[in-house]
Amino acid sequence: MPLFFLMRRCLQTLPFMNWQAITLTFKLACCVSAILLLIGLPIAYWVTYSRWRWKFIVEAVVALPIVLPPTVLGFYVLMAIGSHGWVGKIWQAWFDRRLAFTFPGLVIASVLYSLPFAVQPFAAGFSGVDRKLIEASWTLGASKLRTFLRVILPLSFTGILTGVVLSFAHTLGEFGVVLMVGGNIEGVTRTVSIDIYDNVQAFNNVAAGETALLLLVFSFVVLSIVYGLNRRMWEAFPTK
Amino acid sequence: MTPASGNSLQLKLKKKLTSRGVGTFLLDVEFVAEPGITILFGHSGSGKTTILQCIAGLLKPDEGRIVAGDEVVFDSDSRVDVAVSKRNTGYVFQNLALFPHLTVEQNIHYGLDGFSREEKDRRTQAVLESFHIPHLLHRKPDEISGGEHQRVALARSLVTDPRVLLLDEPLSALDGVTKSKIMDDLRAWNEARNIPIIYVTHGRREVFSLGERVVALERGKIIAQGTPQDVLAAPSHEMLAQLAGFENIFDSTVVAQYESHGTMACRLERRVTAKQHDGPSPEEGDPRSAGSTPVRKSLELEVPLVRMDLGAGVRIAVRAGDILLSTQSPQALSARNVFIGRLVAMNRVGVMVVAEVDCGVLITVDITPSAVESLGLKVGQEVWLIIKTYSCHLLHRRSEDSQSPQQDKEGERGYLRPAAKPSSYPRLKVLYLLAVTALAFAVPAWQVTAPFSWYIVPGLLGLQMLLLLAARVEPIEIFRATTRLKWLFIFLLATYLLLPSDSQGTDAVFLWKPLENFRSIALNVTGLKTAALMCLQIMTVILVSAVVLLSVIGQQPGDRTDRGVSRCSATRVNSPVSWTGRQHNPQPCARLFRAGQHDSYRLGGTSGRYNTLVPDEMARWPVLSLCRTLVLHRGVRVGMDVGFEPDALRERYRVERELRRLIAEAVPPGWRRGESLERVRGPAVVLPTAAMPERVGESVAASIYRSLSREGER
Repeated sequence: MPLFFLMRRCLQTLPFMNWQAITLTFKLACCVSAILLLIGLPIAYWVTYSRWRWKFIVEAVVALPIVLPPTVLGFYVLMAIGSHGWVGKIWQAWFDRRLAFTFPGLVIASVLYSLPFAVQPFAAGFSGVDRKLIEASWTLGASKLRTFLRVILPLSFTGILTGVVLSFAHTLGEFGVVLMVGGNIEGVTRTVSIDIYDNVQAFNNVAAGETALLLLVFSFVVLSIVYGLNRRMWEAFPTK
Repeated sequence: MTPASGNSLQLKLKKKLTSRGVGTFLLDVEFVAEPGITILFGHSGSGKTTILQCIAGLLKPDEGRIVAGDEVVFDSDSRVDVAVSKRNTGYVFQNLALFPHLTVEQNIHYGLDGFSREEKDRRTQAVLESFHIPHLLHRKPDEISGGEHQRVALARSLVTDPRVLLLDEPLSALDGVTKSKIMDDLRAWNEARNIPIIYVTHGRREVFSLGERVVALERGKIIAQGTPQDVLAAPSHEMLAQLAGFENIFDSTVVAQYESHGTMACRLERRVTAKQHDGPSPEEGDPRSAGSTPVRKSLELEVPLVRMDLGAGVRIAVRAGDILLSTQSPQALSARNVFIGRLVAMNRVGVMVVAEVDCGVLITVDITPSAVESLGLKVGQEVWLIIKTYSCHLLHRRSEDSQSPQQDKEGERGYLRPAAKPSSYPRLKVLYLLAVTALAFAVPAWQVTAPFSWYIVPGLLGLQMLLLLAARVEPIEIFRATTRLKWLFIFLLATYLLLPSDSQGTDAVFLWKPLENFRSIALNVTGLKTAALMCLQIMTVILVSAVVLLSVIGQQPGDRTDRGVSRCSATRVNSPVSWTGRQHNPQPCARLFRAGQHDSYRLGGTSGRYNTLVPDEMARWPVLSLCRTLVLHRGVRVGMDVGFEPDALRERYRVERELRRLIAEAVPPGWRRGESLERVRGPAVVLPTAAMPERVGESVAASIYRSLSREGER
C-alpha cells in the first residue's frame, strides 16, 4: 500500500489525469470481481458437475455476453433497471432510490457483462481437478461443501485466480455497457475508458494518452504478476 | 470393534452398462461378501469397477439392494439411497487419489473430521504403524515412493474404520514382493476389524495369492464363485480356464457319443488360445488337411460325456502340464488320446521347457529340461502326444459368441420390465403439481386488472380433486410431496414479502398480446406478488385438504411420513441397535432391515409389482397373524403396501384396523406403542436369534416360521 501511495504521489504530478475517474474505475472493478467471485463459484461448480440434460442452455446463457455487443446488453439492462423496468421498480421500492445512472446500476451491468470471464476460468479450473480425488473425498465421509473447500478449491486455485483477474481487467476496460447504463456523470459513472473517449472527442490527446498509458502499464503489471504467481502455483501444487 | 457376524456385505444389483469394446450389457450380480478378502475377477469392462462404485454410492444401480453390515445403504424398492459420504466405505482407487496438496498426515486426517485432535493423532499413529509408514507423516504425496503411495492410500481409507473396504486394483502397478507385503499388512489389520474387503483385479496371480473367495465376472454376470481352488480346479468357462493356466483351448465339434463308456469324441478344429511363445511355426492357425501331416485319429479327442447334440460346438481345455510326450509310438496305455505331431518349437521358460507340437493344430506341452535331454528332443522331430480323457475340460462358450445377441435382448427385457411401471406414477404426480402451480401463476396474471374473484379458489380445488383422481395419488403422497416442496414454499413467501406493492399495476414486466382484438396480458410486479400469494394459498389448501382426507380415513401423517413407506413400513420399536451417531440413517426401512436383515416385510397386497412377494409365507401364514407375530414377538411395527387403487387402499385400511384390534387384544394393559413388549410382559416371547435368516434371501417371515416350528417340536 505505501508503494501505491508513492506511485500515486508521483503520478499526481501528471497534469491532466482524471483521478476521480481512475479511483471510480478501480472501485467498480473491485466490487465486480468480488461479487463475481461470490456468485461465479456456485455457477461454475454447477456448470462443471451437473449432469442435467439441459445444462448447455445455461452454459449458453452464461457465455452470451462474450458474443453479444455491449450496447445490446446495455440496452436490455437499462430497460430492466430503468425507473419503468421491474428491477428498477423493486430497487426503488426497497431503497427509495433509482438504479439507472448510479454506481449500483453500473455494478449490476458490469457483473452481468463480466460473468463469462469469471465463470469460464472457474469451470475450467474445476474440471481440471481429477474426478477421482473428489470421489475419494466423498468416500472419506466429506460432504460436498467440505470437498469443495478442501479439495476442489485448493486444486483449482489457478483457475479461480485467473477468473478474478480476468473479470477485474475486463471491468477496467469496459466501455459500451457502462456508457449505456451509467451514462457519463462525472464522479458517479465516468470510468477511465469513458474519460479517454471524452478527451479524444475534445481533441485533448495529451490527457487521453496519459490515462491510456497508465491503464496499459497497470494491466501489464497485474497480468505479469498473476502469471508469475501462477507459475509458482503450478510448482507448489503439481496436480497433473 | 463390531462383531464379525454382522459385517458381511450383501449385494444384489442391476445396471445397464455401456463399456468400451464390449458394448451395452446388463450388469446383474448378486453375492455376499463375508468378512475377509473377496476377489472380484474378470476382464476389463466386465463390470467390476461398476460394482465397487455402486457399493460406494458413486453410481446408482438401476435396481437392487446393498446391505453393508447391519445397514441398508441402497434399496431401489424402498427408495433407500444413502449418500456417499454417509456410507462409510473405504475406497482405494486405481490411481490412489491421494490429495496432492496435502501432506500424508493431512491426507489421513481428512476422513477424521469431527474427531478431537488427540483422537486423530492416536488413530493416525495406529494406522501408520500397522502399515509401517510412520516416517512419511510430513511428506507430500509426490515425495514418497511407489509402494508407499499404496500404503498411504490404504491407511487413509482404513483410518475411518470403514464397514467395507473396496480396492480397485490399487496394487496393480507394484511388483509381487511389495504387493504381498502390503497385503500381509492389510490382512493383519483386518484380523482385528474383520470387515469385508473386496479386491478387484484382472490378474490371475493375485486371485491365487490373495483370495479367500473369488467372484468371477464376465459381461456383467457372475460365472463362478467360491474359493480359488473351487473355481479354478474345474473351470467351466474359457476365461476361467485361461486364468487357471489352461494353455490349450480348442474349438471342436462333437462327432460321436459313447454313452456306455461315458465319453464322446470331438474333432478339434481350431486353437483358441494365442500361441504363448514365439517360435518357428509356419503353419500356425491353419488347420491342414489330413494328408499333409501324418495325423492318426484325425485329431479326434475323446472327452468326458456331457449332454450335447452331435455336431454341436464345444470348447475343450487341456493343461500343458497334463500332456505326456513320447518319442516312440506308445503301446498299451490307458490314455485314450494319442496324437502324432511334429515338434515345431521349444522354449525354455524358467525351470521348464515349453514345447509346441503341430498335430494339425498347435498343442503346447510343458516338459522338464531333463526330459528334453534324455529324450534328445530336437525341433522338427516327430513326437507322440498322450492326453487322458479326464484331463480334457469342457467349457461353456464365451458369451461374446453366437448366443450373445439373444442374451442382450433378454437382459434388456429384464431391465425394462420393472422400470416401466414405477416411472409412470411419479410423472403423474409431477404433472399434477406443475399444473396446480401453473394455474396459480396464470390466473392472477389474467385477473390483475379485474378485482380479485374468490370463485377461482373453489374452481381450483375442484380441478385439483380431478387431477388427484386421475393421478390416483394417495392422500399421504400429496402431503409428502407438499412438505417436500418447502423450498418452493419459501421462495413464494419471499417473493410475496419482498416485492413492492404497486396499486396502479402499470409496472409491466412483459406484455403479451397473442391476437389482435384480444386483451393483452400484462405480467407485472403486482401480478407476480398476487401469484405468489395465490400459490401459497393453494399449497396450504392442498396441505389442509390432504390432512383432512387423512384424518377422515383414520391415518395419521406421522405414521407414514417416511420415504420408504409407500412400499413397506415396518419399524422395529425396541431394537437393540441404536441409530444415533454418525451412521444414523433416518429412513425407517433401513431400520427395518437392520432389525430383520431381510427384504420381505412387504406383506402382500393386490396391486403393482409389490404384491405377494412372500407367497409361500402368505399361504401358510395369513397376513394378519404374520403381522401380529411380527408386532408382538419382534417389536416391529408393521404396515402394508398395496398400491394406490381405491379398493386396495380400503382393504389395507381394513386390515390395519383389524390388526390394531388384534394387537390391542393381545398386548397387556400399560403397554404403549413404541415400548418394548418384553418390559411389560417379561422375556417370555423373545425369539432366539435363530429367527434371523439363515440363508441369503430367506425372509424373516420364513425364518420366524422355522424357528417357531422348531420351538413347537421342543
